[in-house]
Amino acid sequence: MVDGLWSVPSLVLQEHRAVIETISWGILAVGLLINLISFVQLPAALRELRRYSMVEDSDATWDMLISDATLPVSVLVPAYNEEATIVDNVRSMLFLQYPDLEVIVVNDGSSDRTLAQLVEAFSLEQTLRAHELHLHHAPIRGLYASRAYPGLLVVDKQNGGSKADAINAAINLSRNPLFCVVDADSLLEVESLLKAARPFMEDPKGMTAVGGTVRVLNGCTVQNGQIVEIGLPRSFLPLIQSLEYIRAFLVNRLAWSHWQMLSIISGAFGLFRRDLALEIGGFNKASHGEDYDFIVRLHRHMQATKRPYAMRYVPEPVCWTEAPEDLRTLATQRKRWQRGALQVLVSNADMIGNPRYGRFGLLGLTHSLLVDLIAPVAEIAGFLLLPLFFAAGAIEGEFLLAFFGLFVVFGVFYSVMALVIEELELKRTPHVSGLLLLGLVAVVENFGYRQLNSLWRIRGLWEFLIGTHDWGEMRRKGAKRVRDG
Amino acid sequence: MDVEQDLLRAIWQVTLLLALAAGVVFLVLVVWRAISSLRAQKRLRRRQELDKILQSVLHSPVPLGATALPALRRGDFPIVLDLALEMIRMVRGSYVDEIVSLVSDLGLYPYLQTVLRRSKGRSRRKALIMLGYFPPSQSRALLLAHVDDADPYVQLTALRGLARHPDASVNAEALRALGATLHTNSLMLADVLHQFGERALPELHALAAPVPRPQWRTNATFHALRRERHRRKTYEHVRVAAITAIGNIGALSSSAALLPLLHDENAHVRAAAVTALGRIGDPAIAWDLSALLRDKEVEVRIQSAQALGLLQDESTLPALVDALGDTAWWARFHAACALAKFEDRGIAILRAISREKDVKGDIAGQVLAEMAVL
Repeated sequence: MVDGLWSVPSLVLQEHRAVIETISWGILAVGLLINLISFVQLPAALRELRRYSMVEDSDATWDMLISDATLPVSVLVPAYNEEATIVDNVRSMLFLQYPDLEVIVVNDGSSDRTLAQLVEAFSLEQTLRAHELHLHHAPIRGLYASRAYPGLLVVDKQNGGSKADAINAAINLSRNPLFCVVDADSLLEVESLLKAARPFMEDPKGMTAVGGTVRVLNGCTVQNGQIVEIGLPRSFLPLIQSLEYIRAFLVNRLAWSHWQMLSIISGAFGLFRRDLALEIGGFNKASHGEDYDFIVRLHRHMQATKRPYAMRYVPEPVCWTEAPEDLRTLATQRKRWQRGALQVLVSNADMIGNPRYGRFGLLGLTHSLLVDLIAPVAEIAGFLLLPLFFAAGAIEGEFLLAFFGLFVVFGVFYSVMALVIEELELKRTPHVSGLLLLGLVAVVENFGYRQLNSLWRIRGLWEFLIGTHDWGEMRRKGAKRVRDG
Repeated sequence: MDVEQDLLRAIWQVTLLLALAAGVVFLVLVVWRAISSLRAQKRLRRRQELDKILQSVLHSPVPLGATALPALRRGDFPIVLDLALEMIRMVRGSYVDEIVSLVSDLGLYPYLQTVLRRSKGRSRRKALIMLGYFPPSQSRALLLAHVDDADPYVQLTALRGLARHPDASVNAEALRALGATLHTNSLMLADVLHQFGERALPELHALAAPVPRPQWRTNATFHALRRERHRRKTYEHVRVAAITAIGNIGALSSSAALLPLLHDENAHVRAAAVTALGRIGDPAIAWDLSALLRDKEVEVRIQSAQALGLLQDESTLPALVDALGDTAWWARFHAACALAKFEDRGIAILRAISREKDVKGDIAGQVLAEMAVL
């Protein structure tokens, strides 16, 4: 068949028909496999939700709030050049509902007025705190505490070049059995810590890490560090990210949590056991995905020491974070995530498909390899090569269209199911109109955004191969912040 | 060719099916959301109305009889239950009795019985919380029936309700039932057991005591052995919770019951016993506690240092000074903090040790620096 659009290339392609068919079927097989896994995730996510739902469960939260037995928590807030929002956000953390809470803010060598803003707002004074230098980090320049806010400790340290370095310093200084890592630009709902700590109360010996839901703050109205009105983002990019976050947390993580193969707990909001963090050497300073790296090393450690353990994702505690509003920032973020994921896979290559590391090594990490390495390559190859093969007449247009249609429709179906779970548990979509808008986004994102995302991931792969270490600038302006008076 | 065509047809069929499913599910979701928003608004309005009614009856200058109250609709009972529980959280004493009497007059008791019979999880828990405030004649049997519930939250709620009963025999029955439990949440259980108070100490002492190992039977099934193992494991949690509760109650008479537990084979039991004895504050057992500064489990050593800090018995100073050289940083830190609690004498010791260039000197220096007394 040499009746394609370009007769010369098509002749060449005809000669290599077997190779072309293998590539084409390989690309489609990867797509089908990923969709199949996603499909299996849906019932698992629903079952997990049914088992651990916290809807209208204020009584258990109340019992924890008034109990002496509730495990104390240190909230660790690494901050680098966050002068615009740091005061509001720290204030919101100090007012979280929790019976025994300390907040440790680490000013990681900011070049702006982050520390000055904190000193001014909370009347901070220099202090000292006995602590063990268990984890290595850049030198501490000073510690600050407030008489008015006894639960607040501010650490001023030299920049360690990574968020992990700041977290490690805070872990050394924390004195509670649990610690919660929260991004300085993120806001927690008031009951979120109580809800996140609940799995630790239920299984204090076995529970090692708990992750909550992260949602997009853009479009919400924030007053004095509290969300006073939930809204959907008004611009297109954060809106798409809203749906992405709903899908990633409420289906993907819920399902992996159900299967006890959770491979990541978001760096924006996670609760961990301090003793185990020390045992594994804290967060990895060299990693671009320190949250992912930490969880994989935790799995490795628990499996290697043959201790029974659990990690859980709970949808109810919600952390709101600002999503990038422009393409450049979003691309930087996605490339960094991709580099981080590949770093983790390479440094833990011995665990992939290895039954010695339990089902997490055998299946969880193998799935990560498929999603983080093979899928973006296959997807980009699919978008570039398949139309080329079709144009040259090497593959049937009908097949191409059918598979593309299947993948798009499945993507929409998956997003709709994520919205169903969101409505069953969280109900944070403000209006029916918001739901309709997200439904529309579920369709539109397949034409352009999805391809762009794959492209960024390929660029992340390239940057990983050439050894780029740049964290990149994160410009944020998403939430509407209003102040009293 | 036929295979290819069949495959193509199958792909389109699946695509169509998924598209249809996505469309229908989304439509149902949108309609359901719209309806539930309307329902929520309606419920909110009714809730405000009922709240006003309850508040006006409770604040009425003249007592209103049951006949003066409005008849409730079926859907009103969950709202009244929620409102009553919210009000009870905010108040104490006789006001709680007034709320209970009012909701009883409104006919809530039969509704609670129905919920306990038919519902699961959270609804049952709410019903049990409310029942805990009802007179023992109405609530005792229902609460006792839930002490061994498979849902630990339901179990704890039932126990919390029983803890409010003044009748010691009810307490004894509840705590005996707890001994046979297969499910519990040890951390929260300690809190609940504390609420039983001093009158339940004999039962709490019994719960804290080591359980004799069962006789090995040749005819025991694998399932029975597994069940027994699980029960024993859970029972260790119950013991820890009981010991913690005894410590929180803080009666000196409990010292004798706790003392043998300092040598228990379970490290969690030892640690809980040390903490409890520290809280009770019996100076006679200071020497026994100081021996545990050399326990093989770091958690026990830490608790021991903390307890000695509370007791402040000078005979334990040498042991605390030795503990400054412990291999675990947290044990060293708590030993230094315990010394600091002895005030002038302890601080003088810390000052002297802080000049040494070893781990003892380091921790003494750090703690003194934190106290800003260097």
